[in-house]
Amino acid sequence: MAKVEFRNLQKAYGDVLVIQGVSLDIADGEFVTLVGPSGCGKSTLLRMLAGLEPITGGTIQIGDRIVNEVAPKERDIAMVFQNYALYPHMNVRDNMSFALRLKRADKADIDKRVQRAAEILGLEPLLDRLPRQLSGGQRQRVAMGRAIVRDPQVFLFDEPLSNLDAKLRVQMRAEIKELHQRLTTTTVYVTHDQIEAMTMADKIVVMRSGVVEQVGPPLELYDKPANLFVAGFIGSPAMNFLKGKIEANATATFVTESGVRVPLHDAPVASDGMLAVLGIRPEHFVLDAARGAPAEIIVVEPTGAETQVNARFAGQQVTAVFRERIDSKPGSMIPLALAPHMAHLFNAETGKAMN
Amino acid sequence: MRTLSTLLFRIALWGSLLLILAPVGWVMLTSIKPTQISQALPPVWNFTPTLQNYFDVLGGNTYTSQHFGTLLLHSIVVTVASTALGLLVGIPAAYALARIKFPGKKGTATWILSTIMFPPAVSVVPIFIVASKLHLTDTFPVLIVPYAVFGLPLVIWMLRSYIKQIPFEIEEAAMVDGASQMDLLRYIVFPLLMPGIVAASLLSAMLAWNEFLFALTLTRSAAKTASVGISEFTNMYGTQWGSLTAAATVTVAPILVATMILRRRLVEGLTFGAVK
Repeated sequence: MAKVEFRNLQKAYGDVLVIQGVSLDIADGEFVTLVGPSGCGKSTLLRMLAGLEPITGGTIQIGDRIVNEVAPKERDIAMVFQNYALYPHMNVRDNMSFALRLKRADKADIDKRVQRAAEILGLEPLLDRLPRQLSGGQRQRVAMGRAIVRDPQVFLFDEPLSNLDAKLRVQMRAEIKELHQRLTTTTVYVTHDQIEAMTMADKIVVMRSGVVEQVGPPLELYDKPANLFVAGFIGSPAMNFLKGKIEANATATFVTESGVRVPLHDAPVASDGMLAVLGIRPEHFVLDAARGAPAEIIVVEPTGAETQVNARFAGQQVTAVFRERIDSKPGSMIPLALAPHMAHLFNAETGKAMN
Repeated sequence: MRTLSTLLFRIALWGSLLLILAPVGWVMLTSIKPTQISQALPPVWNFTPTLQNYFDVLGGNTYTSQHFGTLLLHSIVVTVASTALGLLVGIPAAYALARIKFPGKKGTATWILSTIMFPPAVSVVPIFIVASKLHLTDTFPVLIVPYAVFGLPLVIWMLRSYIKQIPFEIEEAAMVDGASQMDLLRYIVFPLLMPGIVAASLLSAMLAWNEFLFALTLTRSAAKTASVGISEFTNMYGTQWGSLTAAATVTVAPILVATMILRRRLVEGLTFGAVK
């Protein structure tokens, strides 16, 4: 196990800077998720850590070693690829033992480590099969088994669940998390799925266009997003945004563009008259006949555990989630209010959080 | 209208096929005819087939300077060695062109392909002069090296296409697992490249096996190949048609059988990379 440090890391393809000075600390044994939209640079960052992409600037440190010029095979890392990258001409046993055979490890030791990994992942009955004879989930497990047997300092996962169906993804998510808890190896996990990030990570790194937008534990990013991008990216359904301005006189109020007045718990300093964006998570809407504003229901989506309502509120479409069942039909009006403590304020110009 | 055009197309196709196969068929038929009727006009179709011509050719009972079996052996040596040499050079070259970034890569690849346009016959005299000076005429290397070299562009381009079809993530996984460049080639690329290697080997072997001009010019007896040996069945005593056609059939047979067994791989090799 080892810590990983990125210091002012840069990556350019010609004149295009795709990673722009990323600095990040990953503690020994930590499970860190790099999350962001396609093209944000998360996979590039992972590949630079693996040594599969050359570094344009900055440093990468694994343990006490700066590894910028170190070949992938010397970095003591193991990687699970998005499409598994199993060796198609080798059976499961040979796939898992390949790295150890290259090192000319003792045969008995190789067998023991392969057997142990196979037991952990439930692969014992499949050891003599070829990759083409395995299902997607089984191949994923073999890819993980191939990483486990090496007992590396760092595990790297590059969107390993992207090619699986939704149900299998949920199952594998739990298995990967359980594996980490068992092995406690430092893990860097890349995904575009914020639910995977939220459920699996000790720490999430949200990236956009080669820049780190925010780093922190999942609930910190959920409760205190640093800017509009993180607020909209983390959480499903996504946070609702209402444009307007702040009135910070006797009672702090946010006035939407359509004139709906939303009381605030408090207003940021020197914000009177400032253009802002109010963010409210779907589950923080309440039905309140006394202080709510009328909202027209567009769609009601009952999921069983909760009810998701798309409605037109304050001049724009919002998504609200209620624990209770909603009997109202599309076209009818409901009184929507915001829990004041739960509203987030963002500077309309910079996008940064104000509270 | 469509049925008529399809019918005409099929007639033309079968006609062309019969035209191409007719000489081959005639050779094989003549090889199993008794010598007395092999040149009869009109041709004799009702006869008792005989393998005597084959026994004569392979037993050395023909009026030629060398035992045909020896010439077949020479052909095997030259073909196998030139194919192996072509693969030894071609596989790493194809890998470099497919995977490794280096200055002038595109130009190098185009230049290698362009050498296919170079007619080997133009170089036979210069090679003869060089070989004479080096005392290499009538030796195996004087055939092996040119055959390997002239087959290289085809081998490299075929294998390059095959290598590009191997997902690069598999090689990256091997790199992370601890494989060096040689380990990659040996344990990952080479096994996965086997269909391409089979196809490239067969094409290269066919070119070497059937080659006549270089073998005729650069060899006399010690390295003479079967394709040259066939021409010696015509001499001052006349043409031994039975022996000649038997020798030709024996010479063509290995390539024919190999092509029929491996024709799927051959088509794969010729068309691989044509469609992304």
